[in-house]
Amino acid sequence: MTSISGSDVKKLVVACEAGMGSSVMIAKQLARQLKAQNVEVSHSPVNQLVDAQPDVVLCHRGLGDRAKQAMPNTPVVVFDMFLGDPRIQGVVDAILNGDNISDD
Amino acid sequence: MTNFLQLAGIRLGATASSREEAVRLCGELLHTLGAVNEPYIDAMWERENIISSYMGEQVALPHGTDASRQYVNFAQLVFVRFAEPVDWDGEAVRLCIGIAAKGDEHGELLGNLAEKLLSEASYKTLMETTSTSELLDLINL
Repeated sequence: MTSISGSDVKKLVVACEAGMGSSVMIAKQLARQLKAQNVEVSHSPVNQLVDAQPDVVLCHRGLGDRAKQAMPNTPVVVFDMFLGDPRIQGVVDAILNGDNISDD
Repeated sequence: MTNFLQLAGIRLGATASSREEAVRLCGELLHTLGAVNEPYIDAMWERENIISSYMGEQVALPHGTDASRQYVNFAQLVFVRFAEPVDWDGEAVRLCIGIAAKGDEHGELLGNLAEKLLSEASYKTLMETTSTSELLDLINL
């Protein structure tokens, strides 16, 4: 298990397959919610995560293993629903409040 | 701002007997509009099998693979609403928003779309209105 304090997150990356649909949608929403926190939010194909150098990775459960394999030392938070998943909100709240973020 | 959705890209009361048929319907519409070349349609189904494009709230966002960006001529959305729910690997889908994009040019629009899907009033419009001009205004805003 890897973890990071929400207050140390400067770069949040939503991992995806193509980066054309859902991940773009989520990254835009998060960027708006974290606008005041000075956190860079982007999306990246799962096979290019290393280049994106994220502090935290968010991805759909279906890509979780590939994302963790690519980034073994970075917290990878997986979610099940693209719209309104509590785990996505949890990462936002942790960044806003400086709480711990870890994968499991 | 570019209008990513055009009147000819809207289908209301569409029918599809399967998820594959629904995805291909979106792809064919994008192809008819000239936004993508034909191989993109297969790439949409390929992508669907890697990870479902189901978003929640009876909505799916089918699109191609990263490699299939080469078949995109210009960024475009299609809006396909079904008369009957389509079985989406156990979920029910009533609305597909098919996407073609070369880069991130449609990003702001997707961010806005997420907010509209989560807002009760605009969600109802997306799922129920029969006015294409209302849909064009709402999506292209």
